[in-house]
Amino acid sequence: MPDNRADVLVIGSGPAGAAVTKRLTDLGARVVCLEQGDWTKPAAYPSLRHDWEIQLRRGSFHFSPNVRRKPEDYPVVAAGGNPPNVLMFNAVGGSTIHWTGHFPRFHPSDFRVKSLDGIADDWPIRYEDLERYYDMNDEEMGVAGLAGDPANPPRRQRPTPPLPLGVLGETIGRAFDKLGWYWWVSDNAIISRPYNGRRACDLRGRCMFGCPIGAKASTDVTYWPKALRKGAVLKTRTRVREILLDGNGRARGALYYDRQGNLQEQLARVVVVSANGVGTPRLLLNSKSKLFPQGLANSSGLVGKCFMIHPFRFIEGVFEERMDGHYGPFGIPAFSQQFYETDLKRGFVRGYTFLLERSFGPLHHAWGSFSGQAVPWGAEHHHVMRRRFPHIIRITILGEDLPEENNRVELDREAKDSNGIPAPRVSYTYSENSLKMLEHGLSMARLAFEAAGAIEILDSGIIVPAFHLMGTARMGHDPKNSVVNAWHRAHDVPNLFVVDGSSFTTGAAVNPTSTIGALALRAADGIWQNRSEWI
Amino acid sequence: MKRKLTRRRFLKSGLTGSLAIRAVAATAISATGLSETQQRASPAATVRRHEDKLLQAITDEIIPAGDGMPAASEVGSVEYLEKLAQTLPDLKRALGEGLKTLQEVCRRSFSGDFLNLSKAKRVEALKEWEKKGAEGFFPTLRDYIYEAYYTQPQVWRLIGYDFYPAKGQRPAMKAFDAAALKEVRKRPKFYREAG
Repeated sequence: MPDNRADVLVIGSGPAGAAVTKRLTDLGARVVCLEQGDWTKPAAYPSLRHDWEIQLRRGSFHFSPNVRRKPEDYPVVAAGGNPPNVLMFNAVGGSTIHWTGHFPRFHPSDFRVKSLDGIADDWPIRYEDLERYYDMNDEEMGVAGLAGDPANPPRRQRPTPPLPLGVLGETIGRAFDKLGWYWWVSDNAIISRPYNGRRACDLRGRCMFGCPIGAKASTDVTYWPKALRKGAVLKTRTRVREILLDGNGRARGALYYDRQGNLQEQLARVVVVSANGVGTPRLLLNSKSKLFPQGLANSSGLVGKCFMIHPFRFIEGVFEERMDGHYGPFGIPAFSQQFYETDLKRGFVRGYTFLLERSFGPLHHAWGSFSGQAVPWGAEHHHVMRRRFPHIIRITILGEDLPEENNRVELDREAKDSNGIPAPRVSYTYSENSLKMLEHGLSMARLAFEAAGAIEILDSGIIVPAFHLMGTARMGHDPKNSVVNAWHRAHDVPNLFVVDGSSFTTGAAVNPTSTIGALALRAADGIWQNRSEWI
Repeated sequence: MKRKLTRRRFLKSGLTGSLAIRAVAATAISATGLSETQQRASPAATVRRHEDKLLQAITDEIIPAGDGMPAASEVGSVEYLEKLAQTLPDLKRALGEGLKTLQEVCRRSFSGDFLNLSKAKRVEALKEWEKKGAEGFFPTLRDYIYEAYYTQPQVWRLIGYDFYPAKGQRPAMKAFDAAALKEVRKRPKFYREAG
């Protein structure tokens, strides 16, 4: 048996890969993780620089790999009726490096949409199966929040108390109260008190441009230091080209390019793919063989299909009073799930969350902030700028996407990354259901802003930011209708696991990272419990 | 509460004038990441060139002085753009093509050079240029001018934005008060059981 053979090979070091690695290492497995990016340097984060906002247009910290174009990035070709702007980060910690830190959980109904609403598919697991892993993930990541929300199942006391609501949170909270809507202070993976050796949030904002003090839970400061101390091996700047199979159709490791561009093999008894909802299907589709001519684990033909994002729309209210939305943690101060569940009278199925959100700085306001409506130039410029900055509250409508096969990730025939691996081509078109949902959200957001006393309301219109990448190797009982089983094991390859947003059966109407982490911890337990099959 | 820095105070503080403009420009230039040698090779004095005068006139129509705020050129925007254009092909193209397009507009509709137009006619010319949309490079240039302006700390002070750059500096925010949730706490359970 070769010495370099790991028990478990994990591909990707983001919220899923980090959690799987740490959990399995704790349990006693020898884990090697391959990450195409590198460690980021907090002292070099744009959040510390005066020109931090230019990263929204260009620079090495831009949210889109198509703009960054660093050697460790890969291009993403966008297509379809509403070509998505796919956003991700390739580094140790993955996209948690620049995420907002918002940390909601799925609802019990999210796992049962077929049974309850007659649409899409039920997950093969229930909320109760995941609950203890949500708790475990909360403790590992460090969360600020408050238990007791009547619109969500009960949960343990949060590891740290809630972050400040700010003037904008209090303002919109009063409006929600006036309308009789449910709302609550958010769970955020940004700590409000010192926790596990990490410093508390200092409220300076700019979280999405890198948290230099480690208060925001990117996995490079949460899971990874502990996993590495326990003996996990993390190889950075290693880009996996394909997963290798033995003669029996079992995964035996991966072929990857090292930092110098040389091809290397990493052997393992179990392979876990955690490369996100675009990177994972890309890798599986690129791992073709005689046994799997349509791509690895793809006998269902569903690898890459049913790609889901969350339908988004940004609505901004302008107020006479200062709202100071640029201060405080960028994670969501508060949210409302008044319209979360199906009510057919609204004209669509499933529902959405209202996220009350903060804003970036003066330059982004001048450019048009999240509504995209630039401050006019000329004689009116200073007047309108003073009216908007810092006087804006943003409500984001985050809707549930439904799995549809025409929304998909494929391999592009022309575009390639710096190692010559085909780039993903991501096609996406909003469904009628999603568009109706967003229209309803717009009218309800207007109602909320009017109740709050806004003097002007700005709307982004239809936009397609793809922050949340889900569904492309979906979980299910039936191998004809899914790629992995309830334990994330590929139906076609017994020692291959897909553990990230790809394995979502449906997408719910909440940010996914908390659920990705919880699923990853549960998947790790499953791999460990069945270790007799692979040792 | 910090003392508000009005435009009058701003001007009196000596941030304008040729020396101060160079100092501001140097700050702006340093943000482009150019070496000191490169900075010395392209001093702010290049505004004498016709194109630079044109650029200055445009930036000051895009962000004019007023409402207690300085014009774009007063905080070094022209020098910022010039230096940035050396590193950004998009901006260089926007400047080159954009200025050409604007002058064509001026010749066709106003029979003259932009610099020779009255203020009102300049605004008209810019609006006509703006109508050409992204192909005319107006929005690109406008956004770069906004960037040149709103990345300057002296502008931040005038609009009430504090950057809090260093460890230990932080905005004052009221701690979370659970009383904000007293109404919603009274309501019954709202989530849906899944059976």
